[in-house]
Amino acid sequence: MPFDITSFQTSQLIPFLKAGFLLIVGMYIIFSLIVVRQVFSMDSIVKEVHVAIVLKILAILLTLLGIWLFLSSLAIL
Amino acid sequence: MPDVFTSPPSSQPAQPDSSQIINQLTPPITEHHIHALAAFCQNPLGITFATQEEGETILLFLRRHFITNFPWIFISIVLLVVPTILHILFKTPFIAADNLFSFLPANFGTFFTLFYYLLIAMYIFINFITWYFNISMVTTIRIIDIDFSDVVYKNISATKLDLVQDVNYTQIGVIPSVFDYGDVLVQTAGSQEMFDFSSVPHPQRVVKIIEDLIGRRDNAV
Repeated sequence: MPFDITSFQTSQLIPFLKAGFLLIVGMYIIFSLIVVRQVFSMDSIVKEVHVAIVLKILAILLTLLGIWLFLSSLAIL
Repeated sequence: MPDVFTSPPSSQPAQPDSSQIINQLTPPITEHHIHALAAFCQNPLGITFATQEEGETILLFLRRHFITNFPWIFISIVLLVVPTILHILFKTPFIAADNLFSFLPANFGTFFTLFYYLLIAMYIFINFITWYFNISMVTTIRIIDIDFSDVVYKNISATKLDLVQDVNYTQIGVIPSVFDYGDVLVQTAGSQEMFDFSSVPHPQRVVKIIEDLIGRRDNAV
């Protein structure tokens, strides 16, 4: 049966959008984990007392926010 | 048999080694507490590195000049403001749409917006750590250059001060001249021929400090 453009509705796109969004957030989480690893490894190379802990916390926080976004979009969307 | 001549006990001290000469030539050191966004610090306090040897002290701690961060800071501000501008635009009567995500269910818009801001936060963080972890150090023994870029690239190189052959700097352009930063090039006889300290503040002072160190070495040997 040929595809009828007149019967197409934007609601049909939603599952694809959801899957795409989850995929991108998943990639973000993997990337942020790499960032966390790099921050920790750099910290072992050069130790600067005051800022190192703040950077570690920020890196972990950004990863946790990504995981939270992934899980909540999985549940709600 | 009586001694005709007895040499007096030697009053000359033993020949000092090169490190002692360097210590004698070095003026009293004033150590500085380094602040978080420091790009140039002489005799910094509170910094150590993994391969630091006993008795090795950091004489110079360098990063790119903070003004070199301006492009990504500007881009971040624009990206942060874009959703607000779009929101205002889409609310105007000229564009027939109530909301940017009007074709989607309400939750989608919220999650997209959250993710957008999370991406910007990550963009800012990565650019900051790229600047923050790009470090060059001059110690009493060697020169260390840590290159860190695009999160996945990391290169740490070091050379002994004895191997340094030449040091010079380039300062090209209006902005580097105004803010006094430039590239310091250190030529060595080691496996890595060139050390490049990019966009470091006060390049002239950096060159002078390294030249002084090389000079002292040469005098000491």
